[in-house]
Amino acid sequence: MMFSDADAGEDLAALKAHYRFDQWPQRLEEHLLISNLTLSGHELPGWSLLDPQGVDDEGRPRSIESWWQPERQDTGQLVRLDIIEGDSPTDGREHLLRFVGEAQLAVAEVDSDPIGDVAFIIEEEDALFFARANLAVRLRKAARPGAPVRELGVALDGWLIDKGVVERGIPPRIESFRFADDAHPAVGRVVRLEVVATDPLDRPVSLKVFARLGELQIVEGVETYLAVGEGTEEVTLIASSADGSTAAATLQLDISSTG
Amino acid sequence: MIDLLAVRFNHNPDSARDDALSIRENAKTGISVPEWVKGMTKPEDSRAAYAIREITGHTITIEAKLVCSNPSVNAAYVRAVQPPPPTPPSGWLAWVMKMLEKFPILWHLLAFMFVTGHGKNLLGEVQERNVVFDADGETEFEPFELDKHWLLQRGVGIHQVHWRWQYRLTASGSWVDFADSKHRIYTVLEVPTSPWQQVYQGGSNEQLPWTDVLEHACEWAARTNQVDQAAAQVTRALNRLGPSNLEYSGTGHWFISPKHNFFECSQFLPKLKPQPAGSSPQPVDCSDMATAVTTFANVLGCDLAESQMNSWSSPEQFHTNPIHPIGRPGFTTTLWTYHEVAWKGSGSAGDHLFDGSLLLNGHSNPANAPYSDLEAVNMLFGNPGSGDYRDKLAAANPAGNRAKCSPNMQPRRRAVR
Repeated sequence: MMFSDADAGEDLAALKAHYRFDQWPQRLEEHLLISNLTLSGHELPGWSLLDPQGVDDEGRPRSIESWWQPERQDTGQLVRLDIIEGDSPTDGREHLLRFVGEAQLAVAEVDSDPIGDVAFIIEEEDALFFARANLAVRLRKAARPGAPVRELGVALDGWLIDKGVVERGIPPRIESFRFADDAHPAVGRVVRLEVVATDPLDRPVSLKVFARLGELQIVEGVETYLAVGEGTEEVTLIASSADGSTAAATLQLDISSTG
Repeated sequence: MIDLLAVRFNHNPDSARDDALSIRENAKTGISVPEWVKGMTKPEDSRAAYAIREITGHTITIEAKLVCSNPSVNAAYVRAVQPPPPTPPSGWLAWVMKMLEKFPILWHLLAFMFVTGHGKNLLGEVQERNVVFDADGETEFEPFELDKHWLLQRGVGIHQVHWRWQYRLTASGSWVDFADSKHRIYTVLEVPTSPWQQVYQGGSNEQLPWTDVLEHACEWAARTNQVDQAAAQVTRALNRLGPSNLEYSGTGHWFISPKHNFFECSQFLPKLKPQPAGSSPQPVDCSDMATAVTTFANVLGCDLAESQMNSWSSPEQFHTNPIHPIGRPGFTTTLWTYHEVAWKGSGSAGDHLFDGSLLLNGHSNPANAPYSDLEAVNMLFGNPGSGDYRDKLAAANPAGNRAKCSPNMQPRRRAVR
């Protein structure tokens, strides 16, 4: 008897066609790449992160499993949040498709009040699935009492795309944020980004990189930038520490077709 | 003068024919060999497991290491026997006879206990042999044969073994007690199958059978002698954990890691313990339950695999008949994209399966009330119209519905961690 190593029916083609994968929009006006994500507990207002969160750091993709309960604990509510960090938006969306396919019950696309780039929901079971940038997110009630997963999804998504600087604890230090080897990006050229951010207390540091003219993805574990349009570019790094405080840095440059 | 230093049960990690299986406690903690060392007093500190089918027809041996503090003694006869039971209270025989007269059915129980050696050490006695002490007064790990064991009669189980070690210096001398050792012994039907392994790797292989899993599986399937019986008992026990511990949720897996497709058995095990009153049950989906049934049954030597009907990556859906999902209050119909169970063989229509995630409707027409719980244990999957599992699970209507509920025949076993 031979047993398959891959998940049964790993071929995603049928699911992609069914859910019109190729037509999924990118709702954010900028490109965004999130890496080394860890949760500080401030991501879902009114809810507390239960320790410990499980972070699977061995290679890519990274995955995070966390449990949340309302700050008012007498409700009996409990939510499980799973996040998978893809290497690119396409990769993140394929992980979303796996989340959706893994649900035994039928899911419905969230049409109104969109969450993330694309979202699905199982209303009767309080489960929400969405993709934002390179992330696939699954939010589910994990106890009998219902949970406002749609509301929580909106809050989480808002945090993911937030570029504001938060001063609440000890912020990380951005040691380096530049194009590696002093390369100058040009349209169609993949350039490595050198991103070094450390925490004074040696805690993990989450990274968000925003760009207007360039696609962002992780190649062989390194953040990369691919310019897809000409003009004045602004690449912003938001580094977050484990207590939720952030530091920011920006690169400004002109992108041309010749480099 | 003579003392027992250590006992090895799994003295040959490459074989389970004449010694114990290679096991570990759980993902984090191994079980070192020798399993018993001087100073251990609790049986649960000294654990070993035997596969009944493999040891059948073979002489089981253990290995013991001894020491002698008297330099003038260079050899001794050593054995271990079951300590005599405590003296019963006076008048016990008359009381027993009275109870047998009052409840004649107790004769059957008595006969069963006699046939299965109840009250006797599962591993019988350690046969006498002569051992030689070296210049330091120690022996090597000396092999001892086990005599009059009850492994073949008892079936699956968890047993306490208590040996009283004795020596004598001449073949006709009197036996002198010198040590006691106590052990917790698990019996399974056959060598555990995948995901469990017997590749020892110095005990570091996380896929060696876990005693934390054996504790549950051996209790659930206690006294069974056939793999199908054992798998059925495991399936029933897991299903009956609803609604106190487990409750169906069809929103995706809860104990299967999305990245590696591992069974998060270490997280699942605490959910099997009694839960605090008023706490919500743990959500599970069909894949979690199929994996749990497979993992807990296969540690007993069953040969199940997780396999699906339809496929998670197919957008096709099928309607169910009224079913009773685990932990839910009653029967319901639903629409599923796929379903996963613990399946025998290649997971085909001609193979039998065990489904711990639900109970079927036992009505002769599974679409109709009144509903009655029907366990899906060792049930043929079947073809549309054959009246087997497929017909009981998938609704006859709309037309073609049961055809969508077809086996995808991609069985696999998720590794544990």
